[in-house]
Amino acid sequence: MRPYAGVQELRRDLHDRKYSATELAQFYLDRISAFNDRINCFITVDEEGCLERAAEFDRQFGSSTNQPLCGIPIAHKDLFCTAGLPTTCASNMLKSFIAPYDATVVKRTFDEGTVSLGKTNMDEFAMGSSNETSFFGPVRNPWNLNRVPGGSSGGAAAAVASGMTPLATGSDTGGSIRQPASLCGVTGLKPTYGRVSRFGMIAFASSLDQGGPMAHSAIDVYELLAAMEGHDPLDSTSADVSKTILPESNQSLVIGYPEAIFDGLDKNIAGCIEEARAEFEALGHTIKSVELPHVEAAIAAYYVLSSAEASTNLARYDGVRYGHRAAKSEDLIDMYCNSRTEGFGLEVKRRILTGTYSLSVGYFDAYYLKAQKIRRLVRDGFLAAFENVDLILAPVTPSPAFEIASLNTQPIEMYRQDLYTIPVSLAGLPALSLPCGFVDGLPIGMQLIGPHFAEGAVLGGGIAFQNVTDWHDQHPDLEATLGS
Amino acid sequence: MALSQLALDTEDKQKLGLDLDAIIHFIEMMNQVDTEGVEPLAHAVDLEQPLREDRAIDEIDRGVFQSIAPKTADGFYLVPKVLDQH
Repeated sequence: MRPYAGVQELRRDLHDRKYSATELAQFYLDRISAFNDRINCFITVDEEGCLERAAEFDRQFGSSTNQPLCGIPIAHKDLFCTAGLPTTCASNMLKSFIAPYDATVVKRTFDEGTVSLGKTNMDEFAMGSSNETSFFGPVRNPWNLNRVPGGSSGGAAAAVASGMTPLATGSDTGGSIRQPASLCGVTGLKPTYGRVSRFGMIAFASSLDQGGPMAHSAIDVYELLAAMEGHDPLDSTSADVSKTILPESNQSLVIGYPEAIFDGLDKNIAGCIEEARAEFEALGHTIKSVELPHVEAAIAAYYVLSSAEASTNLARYDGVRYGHRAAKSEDLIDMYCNSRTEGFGLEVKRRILTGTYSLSVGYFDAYYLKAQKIRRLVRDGFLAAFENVDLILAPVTPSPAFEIASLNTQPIEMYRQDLYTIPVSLAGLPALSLPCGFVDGLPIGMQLIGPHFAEGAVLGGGIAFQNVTDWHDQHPDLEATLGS
Repeated sequence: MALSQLALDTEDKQKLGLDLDAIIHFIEMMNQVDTEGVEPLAHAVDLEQPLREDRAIDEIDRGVFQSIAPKTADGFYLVPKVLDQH
């Protein structure tokens, strides 16, 4: 068994009985028990449930099954509700919370045959870009344990990068799938807003949150997206659109290249993106310069909108129906305050305060409405660009994975890490983050951004690139890194 | 503070106060963009909201949902007193 095997290889081997689903699950569980102590990418490992489910498949394999991901292990970000298994959102507030139902994403991937290994670590309530705000401690980057894996889906990215799971679910509000995928050298997709159901996915900023797949390659990301996507009557913002279809290969595309936003980008990263651009040209695609307006102001607008939505979404944590309740309180208001003060970490409090401030009387027009207007300009900028190009190629992060604790006391610098991912989120577009090189031994990613619901074109571009490059096939030498 | 229902201690207040000053300063970068005549945008994707039939589906099982509550009694959620007793 290979820790970095892709879905097609696993499916074929399971079908050929090279190993059983139980042996496969046990293989990944063994890797988790060998490496998770140091990397900390799982909050909950469901060994018993996972082996039971795998055994069930082994009994069924005698008869044919039409579940495309039958017997293939997966890990869910710990903000997708899982009936009977803790869903903590990496917060003290929900550390004992067990959801009464499954998120639609969990249910659908289960129905397609995946075997869940457990729940992955993340920034608390998905608020962070380094996975340092987790109540359960930081996740470490498998390429260098002193570096962050990115966030907020840092556990998911690190779990895939270290071969603890072949597939992982994540969520992306301002870059939370793409940035950790880039910093850990894996492939991840933020789908179009509405492509994947948000039912049972704990809310951070409802107009931006979108679940998506993470894996070793664009083709595996496509396989997992196919299991996750589709209209869900239980989510009123779920789009009723047809499923993602990959384009015919050899299609010649026009790819937009927004050079103006490369200012301030690490020179070596710019070099990696340049090389990728040349690769796309060699594949027969045409590169065309595009302009994306208001990228800087987009970050500010994003922090107003996402914090405002977060402050209202997180009002539900009051210690009454579920979640943490403070032991001592004088009266009801006192209980709300104490429960929330004890339950939330510093970054979550910072966002709630920013959000309530920008929504308060007297500031609403200057902050919230202003941010919504900038959101329109950013989105319209993309729509105008897509009149002339099929896809846009852009960086994901301004620098490679940074040192743990180097930015966690500087919120603005931390927020700036999402410079290249946030405009795409405000515009609700699909974007694939995939590896395109290394700087100082750390993986670097790039984004392929597409028009709304053009996941097929975005993934097709990524698959074509990965057919002629092997950046996605590079893996950290964990035995050497962990010194075992 | 009242809106956010958070009770911060002095240390956190000082720390978050400084952060918030910096964050607000940062947010004001938005003022560099001319938005005269621009309509605010609430949702990025123009889609019609698919409505489902107004019909009850799975009923919520009170017992299951209340089993995760901090305190309940006789099917109700228990909270500290709301009004002073006189």
